[in-house]
Amino acid sequence: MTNELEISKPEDRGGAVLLRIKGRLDVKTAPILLQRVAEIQANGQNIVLNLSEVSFMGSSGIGALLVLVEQFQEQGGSVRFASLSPAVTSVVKLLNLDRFLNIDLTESDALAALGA
Amino acid sequence: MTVNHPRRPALGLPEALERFATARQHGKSIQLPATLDSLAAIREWLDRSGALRGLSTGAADMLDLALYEVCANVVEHGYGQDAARSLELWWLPSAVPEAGPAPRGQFFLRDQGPPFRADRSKETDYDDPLVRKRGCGFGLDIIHRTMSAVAYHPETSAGNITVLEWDPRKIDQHDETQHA
Repeated sequence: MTNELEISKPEDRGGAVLLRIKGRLDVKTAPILLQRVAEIQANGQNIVLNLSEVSFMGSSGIGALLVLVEQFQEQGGSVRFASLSPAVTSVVKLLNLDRFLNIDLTESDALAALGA
Repeated sequence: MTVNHPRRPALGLPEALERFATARQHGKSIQLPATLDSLAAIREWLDRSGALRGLSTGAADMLDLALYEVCANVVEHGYGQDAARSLELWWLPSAVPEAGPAPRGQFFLRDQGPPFRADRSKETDYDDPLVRKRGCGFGLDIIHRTMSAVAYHPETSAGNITVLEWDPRKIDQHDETQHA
């Protein structure tokens, strides 16, 4: 059992940057994700977040995803969420939030949707 | 737009204290330091205590999450993440025979911090972009959508007591609604 969040090194896929997220996304770690994405967003790049290895998603974690969507929309960019883990899927379904998140079954689908 | 949480009547104070006393006699418990890191232990405790028996992975995830959110509120707002303080979580399965494979029952959270309410009656309006941009304050929605009833009794003779009624059929019904 780990309390940590692991974020992969950004992979520039031409048209979008890919980040793979692993571990717990909760009140302690959600700010770390927001900070890391902000650094990429500052360069004007779109982002795909692969959430397949997120083992726990707290309300702060789902809140962070919603914040990212709004921030990218404001700046004319896009963020997409790929390969949701069961823990992420459960929260998204419970709160009926899939209508606000750009969700793709696979990383490839998400990258393709952004023209990468 | 605000939406009222459909809910079962929550336990009143006398019954809550009586049930909590029963939980202390016959239930399973875990004591957690008032740190966010410590809350990762809830899942293992749920498994050990039998509360996850017969549950789907999704339902187990939601139960773990709802209890995490209740405890995190106390850790953050009640105790200010003071590791010297602690909170107790208790599980008391229902004595009534189960209709399904997974047990129903009650969870009790006891803390001694300043009162913090977890039983508000309105849920978040996610259609409001400002709400989504705020990105926080969604924990109570998770708690109320997962649990059948939530009652908060502050400053009782036993401390602050939060009673959470758990019936896995509520999660099953939610899944069916989502797929309808």
